[in-house]
Amino acid sequence: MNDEVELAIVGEVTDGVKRALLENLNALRSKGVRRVSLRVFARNAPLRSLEGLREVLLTNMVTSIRLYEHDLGELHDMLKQLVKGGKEIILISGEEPLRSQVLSVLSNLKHER
Amino acid sequence: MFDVILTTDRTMMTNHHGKEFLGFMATGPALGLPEPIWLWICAPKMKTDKVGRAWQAPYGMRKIEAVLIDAGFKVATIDPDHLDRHLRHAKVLLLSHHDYFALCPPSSEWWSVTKKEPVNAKSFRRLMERPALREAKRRGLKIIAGGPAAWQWLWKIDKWLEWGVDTVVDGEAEKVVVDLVSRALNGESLPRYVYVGVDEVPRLEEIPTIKHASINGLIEVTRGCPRNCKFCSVTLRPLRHYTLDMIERELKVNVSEGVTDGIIHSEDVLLYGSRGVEPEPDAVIKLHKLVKSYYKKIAWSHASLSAIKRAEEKYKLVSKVREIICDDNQDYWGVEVGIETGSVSLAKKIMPAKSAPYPAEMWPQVVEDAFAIMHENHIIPAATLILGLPEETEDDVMRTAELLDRLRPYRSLIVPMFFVPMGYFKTHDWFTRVKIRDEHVEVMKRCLDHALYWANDIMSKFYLKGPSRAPLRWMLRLFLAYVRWRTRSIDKKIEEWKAKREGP
Repeated sequence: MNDEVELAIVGEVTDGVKRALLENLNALRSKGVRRVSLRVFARNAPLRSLEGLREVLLTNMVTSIRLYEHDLGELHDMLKQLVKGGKEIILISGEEPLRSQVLSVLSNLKHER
Repeated sequence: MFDVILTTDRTMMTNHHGKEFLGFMATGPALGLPEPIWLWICAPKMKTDKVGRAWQAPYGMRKIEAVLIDAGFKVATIDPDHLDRHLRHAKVLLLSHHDYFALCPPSSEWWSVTKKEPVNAKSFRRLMERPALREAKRRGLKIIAGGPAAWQWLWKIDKWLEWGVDTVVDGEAEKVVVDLVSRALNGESLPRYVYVGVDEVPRLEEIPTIKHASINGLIEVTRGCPRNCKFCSVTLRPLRHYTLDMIERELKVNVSEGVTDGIIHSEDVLLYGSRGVEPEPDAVIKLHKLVKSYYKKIAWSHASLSAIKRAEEKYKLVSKVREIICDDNQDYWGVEVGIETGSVSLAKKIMPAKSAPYPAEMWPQVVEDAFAIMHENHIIPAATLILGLPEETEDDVMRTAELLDRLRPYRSLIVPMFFVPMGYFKTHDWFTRVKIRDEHVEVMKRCLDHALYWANDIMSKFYLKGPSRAPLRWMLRLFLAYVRWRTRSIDKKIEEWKAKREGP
């Protein structure tokens, strides 16, 4: 596994998303991942997702994190860019309709490759 | 013209008249005195050069400045009074603070007790709301906030947005700041939040030497702490002792810029050079001989009470250090120490290694013995207690009150602080949890009583002696008289409140 991993949260930060993020951060750490780029694709106002993520961010005291905010509309292009860069990406989404959208984006990217 | 500016508000960009302890007043609201006088006492203006570069600046900011200078940026640390003219040209503004929003103790306590916003938070707000900053932001200035209180922005999202802060950096930033500033200057996207994890902190050889003088000549000698207390974030970082060469380089920087007194900064000065909790006498003596060969007067930032007891009882190290420090220039030195609790059971739960190499069961005795050693050796401690810790019981608080009685004979100031979650506890929602109970009030009263008992002695015989300090001494005496008067009236109110609560 790489030293650095891309982790994307798509849509609203629900309790399930927070749990999944925390579990992933712990798992990545135990696998030797030192740095996580955390990309939040949100449709709400800037920084609001940070309120939801605050607890997880403050719980982490070990792994380096860079948190980027994106509009939900940037999802396809950003994923494409990351996939092209050969980055390992973990996607977390708590909203059912968005999950299928994400799967469709990934499927398109697979075909493009 | 500088592309990158570092700054902070007046309560941070000050040397507190060369008396670091007066900085504590900046964590409170102006009480009994007009705010400008209060600020004159605790946060006098810093001297600057013609372009507004601060003569002395907070040590952490000097480290970041040094990294950026080494990387080739046009950078300067600017006094807040001179900021506006530089904002016309600057592209990146870096901020730092110990307590941006007065959420840390003792600011948070002052605020909850007096219901008045402390001057540090007010002063920072004034800095962020100045029109020149808003105008610069409209022109595209990027703002990056860091420092020990960076975590507070996660609790103040509204201000983060309102003031247009682009990125918040939490942790030792030497290895991340160059990339962030480059991105900002090149118009690339910036992360909103950066947490510097344990693998990204600089190794000893990656820590730069400061280029300009630090506030009150403070120089760091160690980063990290081996004691693993649950309430502390410093303990999460790896332990790194600076070499004597590194320390000497920074002493030379301060002395060459006219700063001739200084503070040795470490979480535990007596553990300099040690790999665990047992002092290394040779390293400690060499350190003090070196620092004293440059500075006329020195102080310690922090020491642990267990290291003080161990160092003296096993190696006579405190007495030996006193022989190095005390001379014609100084006859005492100050230090911050943590008592935290007088309860053995609470100590075992939250700080089992703080008493090491002594067992946690001995903690109250360790505290008392260390206070006696400091008193005999002319060390004046500013000690802290933590109230409202998770799992704290009424009995724990009463054990602390009893310990305070035993510390009465020893010259010191003891400051009670309400628990703010850092380290292991830092996700706890303390805003709604802190409930001041009767036994907390009792401890706070005993601390105040202890402070009033020793304050005049410390001021007149040690801290502010001599004719040149007379105006400051006079102002502080006035303030102490006000506190005594207020204490009497508050005591009366507390008794009335208790009687009313208990009913007829």
